[in-house]
Parts: sequence; structure tokens; C-alpha cells
Amino acid sequence: MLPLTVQVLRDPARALRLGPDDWTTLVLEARDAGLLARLGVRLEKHGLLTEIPDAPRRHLEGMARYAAKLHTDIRTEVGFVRDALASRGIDLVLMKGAAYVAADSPAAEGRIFEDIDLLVPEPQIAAAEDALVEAGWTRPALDDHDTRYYYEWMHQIPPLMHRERGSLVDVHHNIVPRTAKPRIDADKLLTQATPTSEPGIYTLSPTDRVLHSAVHLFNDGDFTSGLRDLSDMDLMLTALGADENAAELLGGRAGDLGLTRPAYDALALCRHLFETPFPCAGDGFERRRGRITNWLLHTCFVHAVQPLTTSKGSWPNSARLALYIRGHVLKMPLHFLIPHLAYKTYRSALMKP
Amino acid sequence: MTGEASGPQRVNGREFGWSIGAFNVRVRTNLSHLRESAAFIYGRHPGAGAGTFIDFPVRVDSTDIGPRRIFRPRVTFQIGERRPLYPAPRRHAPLLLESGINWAIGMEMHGYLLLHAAVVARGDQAAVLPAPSGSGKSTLAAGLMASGWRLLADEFAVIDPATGRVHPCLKAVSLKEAAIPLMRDRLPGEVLPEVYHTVRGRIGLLRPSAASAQAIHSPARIRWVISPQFAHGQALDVQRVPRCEAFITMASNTFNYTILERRGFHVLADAMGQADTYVLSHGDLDAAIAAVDRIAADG
Repeated sequence: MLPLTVQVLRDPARALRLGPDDWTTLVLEARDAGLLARLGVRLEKHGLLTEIPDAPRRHLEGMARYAAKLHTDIRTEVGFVRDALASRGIDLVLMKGAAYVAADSPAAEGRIFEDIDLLVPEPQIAAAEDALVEAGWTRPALDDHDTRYYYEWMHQIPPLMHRERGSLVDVHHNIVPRTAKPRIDADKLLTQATPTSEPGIYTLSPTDRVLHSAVHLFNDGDFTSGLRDLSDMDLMLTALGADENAAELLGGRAGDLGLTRPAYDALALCRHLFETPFPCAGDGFERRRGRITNWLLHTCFVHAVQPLTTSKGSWPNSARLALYIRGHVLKMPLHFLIPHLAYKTYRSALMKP
Repeated sequence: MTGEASGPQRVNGREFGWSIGAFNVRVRTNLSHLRESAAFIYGRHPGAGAGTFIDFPVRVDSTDIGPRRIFRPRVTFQIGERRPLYPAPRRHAPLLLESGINWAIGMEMHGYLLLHAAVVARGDQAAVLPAPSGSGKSTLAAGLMASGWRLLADEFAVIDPATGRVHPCLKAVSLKEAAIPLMRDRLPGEVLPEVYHTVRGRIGLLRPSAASAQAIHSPARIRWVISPQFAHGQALDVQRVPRCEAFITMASNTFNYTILERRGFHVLADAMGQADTYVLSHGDLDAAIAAVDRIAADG
């Protein structure tokens, strides 16, 4: 049984057949999934927003408006980021939400996010941080453990917040943690970065954007926004799928980056949830994973993207926990992970008010 | 469509729902004192049972486990999967519910223009009292309600962009410090017995009048904008101000003004385009009430 949010995204006309209790479920689900704005924009595109009952419409319309305003603000803010980095001769290469907006990707539809994520060559990380600090972004106060976590173990400096405008910038030098396997060559991502309609603003290539979303979801283990991420991938894969060489382009690039498994997972899950029209089922992708492991993992994925509040039983919770643990293991070898988790437990025990 | 004005309607064992006008709320809780306070405060509001769209299905429950549950028990507000607010002392559950619903409205309801303002009305003519906290707007709104005005809102003025009308968002009136005994005196039996000691002082909850609850589905148009300013011992001063000046006050007190961008400007301007606009400084509630009555009589 597909979540109601997915049903309506796939078939917007379904919204015309919903009763009051269904609407309660839909708004609740979509809110949790981070898809309320996307639903609103989707229904608006199909001319259905004025056809649904007034009360739920306020939620969908309201969040669609919120997303539109967010995107306007982000475009302005991204310009400031570009200018700051340009002072050190660093190019701006955007990823994730900000990239979707800057590139006018289909995944920008009703997309809500907090941070501006960017990719910078590893040797230029310090210079990028300095440039941003000079332009008004500030470093958060971190203790020694967190500092090590960010700088040495993970793949990003801590998020910087602008002291006046409040915008958040996440500077990455790779799309997976330094400690993770498999390693990805970030230079390959940077050399394929594509320009946008704004001078000096680049994003990961359309194919790389999908692969990044996939590896982020499937390997990182955080399924809190799982349904939203898969919806993003559905939109991006649908657009890529229009090309007759889509399968070769995606498969080739995935192989080149060592991301065939996340690519396979993305295609399989999107097909299951959204019937994403992509020219191959992904079976041709080399996955090097046993059939049973694969089945187990995919069952986990499907359960993990179910809404927690409207699903019966505890499968979604269990699945999310299992994937969270798996994500940690993939992110950090055990000799980092255990001291890290122990420290986090100790610290949160201390902080109980 | 919400039901009879019978108060919170039980949906199943632990859930009950009601309308606050522009929004329907459904609360799930194990806390009997919360059920009782909700039954008191919202006892005259229309119920919202199964088959009614619920804007905010929420949960307020104890979330501690182990010894903590006994010594200084806390409760948490939850909407869907999210717990956006810090836990509160168990006893403060009714306050937490009010704050939680305010949070939910402010986060999402950008299909309306949302102002930080109290709203009272005579029939379908509303006086909007835009003001930040500490201005005395809640006390003034409560005083006006006690003297016959209907209350539409204590916290959020909810304006429909399509019509420019204000829709009731009728929740408990939040009384601070001296206003608590004052309102107990003027409106016996209408103030919740509990007084809550918080970091911002003592807070009491006043329930909306029966007349206010009866008119919960009746929007009003903005006839007056009156910015209240309270200070102890201050002499009464009522100033008619240019509408554009009042517009600035209204816009500055609109939570989501910038989200609606250009449309926000037009909606707000149209909504108050026919209003008489004032600034009301006072140090005495009754003088202020009389002043508002005079403003209404002049119109």
C-alpha cells in the first residue's frame, strides 16, 4: 500500500476523490514528509488547487507560497555566496536543494530546505571558509569532539550562519565522508559541474545530482526525509529518462564514480513508489550484492519511507533504525564509530534539563 | 462541517476535536487535567469529530521514562512526527497546547495573512489591535469581551487574502499577572482556576465568551485598527493616525508578510482600506474600553 502522499503525487486527480478524513491524513503525512509544498505546486500545475476543499487548500497553497518565497531568497543569497568565494578565486558549485533551484531542475518543485550546500576542492576548503567568514558568515561554537567530527572524520566543515541574514552555508569537499567506503573522487564531480543561467554559479551535473541524492539517502542512513528524497529522484530521473541514451549515461557515470549500488537502489525504489519512467529497470547495473541481501535491504527501504504517524505497526521505525545503524557503519569504521556514539550518549545524558 | 456547539468531541478513546474557527484541532492525550481544561475553555466551541478535516492533529503526553516521570514530570507537544517545542512541566499542559497550536499555525498557514494582533468585533465590524507582547492587547481584548464585544482572536488575526476578511481564530485568552485576578472579578467562572508560574511571570487562561464561540464561523471586515500601548499610570490618549502609518504597524506585526511578497502588501492594504486607524495609549483598562467604545460609536 503506497502512502497517500505518493498516490496523489502520482495521480493528482486523486485529490478530487478524497474525503475529509483522507485530507487530514494527507496533510499530516505530507507535512512530515516535507512534501506539502510539492503537493501544492503539483496540484496548482494541474489546475486542481481551486477544486479541492477550502480548508486543506490553505495548507497546500500556503506552503507552495512559502517555497516560492524561499526560492527567491535563495537565489539572492547564492549570489552573495558566489561573490564571497570569488574573492578567493573559488568557483561556486551547488548541490542538493540550492542546486535544484539554481538549475531550474524539476526537483525544485515545491522544494524546501534550510542550507545552501556547495562543493569545493579539498585543498581550497580553508580558503572557502575564510572567504565566507570575511563576508559575514560565522562559525558555530563547537567542542573538541565535534570539531574533530567535522574536520577530520566527516566530509564537511560545520555549517556557517550569516550573522545578519541568517542564511546557512554547508561547505563540502566530497559527497561522502572521508571515512566512508566507497571513496568517491570529488574532482570528477567538479570537472562535470554545469553552468546555470546565472554567471559564476554552477551545480553538479544533472546525472551527478541524482547520484548524489541516491548515495546520500541509501548510504547515509537517514530516512527522515526519505520519501522527499525519492520524490526528488523520481523527478530528476524522469527528466533524464527522456534522453534515448539515458541508461548508458546514468550507468556509465555511476560505474565511473563507484556508485552503481545507490543508482540501482534509486531506480528500483523510484520505480516501486512512483513508476518512474526510466528506460531500464536498473537490473543491468552491476550491484555485487546477494539476492537475499538485496531483497532485505529493499524491504527495509520501502518500510523506512512509510509515514510513521499514519502507518500501522512499528515496521517503519524498525526499518529506519536498521538503516540508521547501517548508515553509520558505512560512514565510519567501527573504531571511529564506537567512541563517537559513546561520546554522544555521554553528552546527551549530561544535557538533560 | 463542524458539529454542534458542544465542545470538544470525542473521536475515540483518547482523542477529541473541536473548531477554533479558521482551524480544526484534534488532541490526543492521556492527561486528564488537559482534557478537563480543554472541556472548560472550549466547551462552547463546535466539536470536530470523525468525518471532519482536522488542520492540526496533535498529541500532548508525558514522554519521560523511569524516575524522571515521577519527580519532575514533563509533557511534550507533538504534531505528526515532530516535537517542535521544549517539554513543559506536566501541570502546564494546557499552556503547552496553546503554544503548540500557535506554532503550527505560524509555521504553515500562509494561505492566510497572519498578524500578531487581538481582534474584537461588533457584529461583522472588527477592531484589530496589532501589537507585540507586553502592549496590553490581551488584557484590553479581554476587557472588551467582558463589556460585550465578541472576541475573534487573542493572538492571531487571520485574514483571508481572497476577501480581506478576518476569520476567528478563537483560542484561550492569555492573561498575565494582575490581569488574572482582574478578569476573575469581571468574568466570574470564566477564568481557568489554575495559575501557571512561567519564566515570563504568571499566566492564566480565560475562555472565550459564549457569544464569541457562537459566532465562530462568522468573519468580519476590518473597521478599526487600534494600536494599544499600556503603561502604568499613563494618561489616556487617543490619536487618530493616517491610515498609511497604521499600515506600517499592521505590516510590522504580520508574521508572514514577506512570504506573500507583493501580494501581502495588496491584501493588507485592501483589508484595511476602509478602516479608521488609531493609537491608544492608556494606563487604565476601563478608560481604554470606554475609548474603544467611543471610537466605535463615532463610526
